[in-house]
Amino acid sequence: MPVACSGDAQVSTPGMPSSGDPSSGIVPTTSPGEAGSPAPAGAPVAGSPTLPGAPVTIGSCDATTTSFAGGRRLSPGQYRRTVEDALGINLDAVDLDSVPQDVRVDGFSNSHSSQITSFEHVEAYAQIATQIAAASTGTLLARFGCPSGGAECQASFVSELALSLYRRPPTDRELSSLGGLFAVAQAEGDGPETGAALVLEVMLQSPSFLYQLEATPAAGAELSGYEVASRLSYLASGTAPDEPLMAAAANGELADPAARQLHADRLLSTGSGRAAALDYARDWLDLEGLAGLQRSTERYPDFSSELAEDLAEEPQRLVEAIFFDEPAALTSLVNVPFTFLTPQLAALYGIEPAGPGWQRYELDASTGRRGILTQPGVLAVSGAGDIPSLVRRALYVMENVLCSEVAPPPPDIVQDGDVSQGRSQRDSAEERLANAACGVCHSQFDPLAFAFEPFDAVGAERQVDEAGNPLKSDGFLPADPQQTFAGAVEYVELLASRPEVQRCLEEKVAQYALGRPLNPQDACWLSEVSSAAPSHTYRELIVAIVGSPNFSRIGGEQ
Amino acid sequence: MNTSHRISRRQALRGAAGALIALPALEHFRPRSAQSALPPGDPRVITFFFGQGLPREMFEQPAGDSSPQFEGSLAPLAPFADHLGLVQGVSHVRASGDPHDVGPLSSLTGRAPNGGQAGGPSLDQVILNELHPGGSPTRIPTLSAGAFHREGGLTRHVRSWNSSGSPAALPIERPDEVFRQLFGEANVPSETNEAAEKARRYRQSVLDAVRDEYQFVTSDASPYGLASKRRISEHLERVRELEQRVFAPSAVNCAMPEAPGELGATRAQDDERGGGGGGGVDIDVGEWQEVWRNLIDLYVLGLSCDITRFGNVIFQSGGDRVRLSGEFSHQGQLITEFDDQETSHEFYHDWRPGGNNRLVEDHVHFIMAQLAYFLERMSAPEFASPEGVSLLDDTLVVITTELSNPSTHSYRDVFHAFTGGGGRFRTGAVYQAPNGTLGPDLYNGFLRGYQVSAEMGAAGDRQTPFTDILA
Repeated sequence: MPVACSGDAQVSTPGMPSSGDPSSGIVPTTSPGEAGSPAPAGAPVAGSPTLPGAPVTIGSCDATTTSFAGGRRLSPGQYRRTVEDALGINLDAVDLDSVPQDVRVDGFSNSHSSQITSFEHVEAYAQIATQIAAASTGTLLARFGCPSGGAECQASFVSELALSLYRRPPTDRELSSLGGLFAVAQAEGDGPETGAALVLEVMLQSPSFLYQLEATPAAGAELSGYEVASRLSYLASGTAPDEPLMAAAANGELADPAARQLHADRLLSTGSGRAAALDYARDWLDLEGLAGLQRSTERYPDFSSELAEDLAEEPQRLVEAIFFDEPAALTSLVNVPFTFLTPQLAALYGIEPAGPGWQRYELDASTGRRGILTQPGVLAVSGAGDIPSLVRRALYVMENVLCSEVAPPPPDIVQDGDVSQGRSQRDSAEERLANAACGVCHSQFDPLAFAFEPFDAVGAERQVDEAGNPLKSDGFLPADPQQTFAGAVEYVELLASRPEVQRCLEEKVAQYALGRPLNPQDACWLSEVSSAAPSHTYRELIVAIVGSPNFSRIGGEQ
Repeated sequence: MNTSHRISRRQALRGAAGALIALPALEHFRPRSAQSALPPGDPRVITFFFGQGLPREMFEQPAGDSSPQFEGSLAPLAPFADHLGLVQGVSHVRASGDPHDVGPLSSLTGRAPNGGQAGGPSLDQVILNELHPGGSPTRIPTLSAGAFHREGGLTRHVRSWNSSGSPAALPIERPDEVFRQLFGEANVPSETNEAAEKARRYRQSVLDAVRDEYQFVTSDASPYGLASKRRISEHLERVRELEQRVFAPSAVNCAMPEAPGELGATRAQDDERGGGGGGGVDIDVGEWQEVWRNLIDLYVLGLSCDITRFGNVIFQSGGDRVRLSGEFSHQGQLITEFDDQETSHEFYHDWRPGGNNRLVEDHVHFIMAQLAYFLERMSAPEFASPEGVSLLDDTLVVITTELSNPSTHSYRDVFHAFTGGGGRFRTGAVYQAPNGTLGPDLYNGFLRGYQVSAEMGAAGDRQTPFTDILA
């Protein structure tokens, strides 16, 4: 007879957690209060890492053990910023959305192994290249050093354009083949601007533009300066290297970790650096689809597309504050006592609007909210449906904040956790925890969402569920049932104090940077990176990663 | 015989901008001849997948040599019973994982998922690759189209997979996009238009240069590593496919139709931006059926015109979440008036054997009506061969779903049906596979019908090809 365990597709199965203990991270634990513990929520810390003069010591690990994934394709954001920066045009009118979205696997969509190439990708890249070339015609030659369009400067045009788009000088083979497109245009009776547009159209579809290709003369060998520059720039700013970085690449300066760190710190202070950080945060928290969130109009008559857009923007504004404007440890995202709201979001919070547009609000305990996990948009995404799922919200916390996971359910589990009169999801969860067959796995994660039950599928607070059952928000931490909480505010404070949360948030940044899931062999490297980021801020971590010896070495090609 | 194919409906649909638009005249779809007689041995293989699953209690029946009985919610299939074989007792693979990933991904591939991708190629691609090692015989190697709503990754809605586990084709949702892929590229105004011809030559030059770039990276002279080469090689294959679609001779068996205007999509499709939050979508059944029928009309036309021979049609993705509204009639009979208060996913979870399953039954009926429309168009006399063989009978259509019990999410004894494949397979019968039969055995049975030597499925999952189905 099948066992009834959960009201959702994501149900655990006994005995198969692959890393089911949330405390079983891959890096040694640092206890709260020790050096390296999280800064108090919202408390500013040093905005810049220690840079040359007192260089970070990092490098005692075997630099060949942890490798960066090579050959990744540019993300949509990287594509846009690279082209806009190179050509000085705005791509709003270009149909970039026609490129199929990358799939989010192992927590991120930038993983080397999850990027697929379909016909639709190739067709979209071709169409976009045509659109961009058309939009650029007339300005290309002058922008890239060949205003006359004459034969004497066509090669330099190709070289300059390649430096911007390929992020390296072109090879002789490329110079010859791309330069030949001027002759194609001439044979058709057209001028050099047409030839230049053809060169651009080809380059925008080339593997040297679309992929971060890295030559592999030998495992563990040093990357070329241009390859290091590209890796660094896409990590720190999500776009191609700028002129100072390309100059450093040409001069061989990027073999020096301190030089790399200086450039990373500089790029993080640019608008592109912020945009890249937000790309990361959206991917980490699975917020990409949030602006298009749909909800039943029957259940949520006040829900609107405008509110959905606000739900999507609120967490990004908070991330921007913690990463840049009021830099604090990554863990402070979990319990930060302020947020940014529009009037309609303030109404959803039950707060009197402080003014039009986006305003900063301090969150006292009466709001029942604190930190990014209690933001309506995150609650909507993690609940995954018109009736928010306790199990899904718990798994969301488990995977994205604790870096743990549990094996999927066996196929013959009855999905039996829907709310009914007299039986809330919390009631169902408590039954599961008391059931030996279900509880062995569900006890590891169900309590992670207990505090969120009073929030509905758009993140608004409520007193009763869909069946009129009163809702509870008290609970305990699965990893330490002695740690109890009375509601969401106490819960996120407990979470933020947990060393495994700090470790996980750093692992997330590291995984994104490496472009692949972490494995146990990365523990040494990650520990060093963490130690080199004493305040545990996003900026420090990125700079520490860039300064590690393996950052300039040949990537692994899993 | 030179019968014109007429899509006569002229309904108002909603375009991308949300405005109501009139359907363009599509009367110009004219097969130049009747359905092309494929060279002997050249198959058409299309898979049809529907999401949410089908409780086995709704289709199980005694095995035998009489045609399957399709009753109740499955009644829309009854007119095609003689042209279908029903196979019972076939389970998807042994695997754990989210059943809405495992069920869809293992169906038609016979392998457990591999992360966010398939564990192996799908049935249609195995046959395509073995019978046409030099490349596709048609302009579009694989055409996938359907009506579904995204949630999660590719696993729930992509059903045609390459050997590497990457998608062979992403399903197209909009009828006008199907039209463009079938006819748009090849329908560049004729040689009399000098500017268009020049643009075409430029495009050829650009694609030649792009292809050369990818060929170099994958060559022995390239400085890049094996993994990069594999990835770029996959990209190169798609570049070649783009060249083929753009420059290969167009549909030789059909006169070029005039380019239509926008064929529209449902509001749900237009509004959907990635399905964020998994809230499901609201759909009017009348609107959805009209869009679906346009999609199917065009898909079948693509087969008839021999623009494609392999691919997949999907109606709802794995674990799809839809709330239907409006009257649903079939063959002039009112079946129900939908007024869903929660998404189909939720009440499929509530399905119980012998219970009050009215909501599920109505949704199944609706899904079967859409499948029936596909079978009906494939059976249309204007697409029949000079010998009177319908496109349906001349094609192998393998029909399946993700689950056999939507509340337990079991993928044991899953619904499988098939058509004759040009006389290779025996229809009008109900088959009972031996206990423990898994998908690979059934799929390998189909492969035997084409003398394909490849074996689908992991070694531990395949036993004996289920060849009872062979004619």
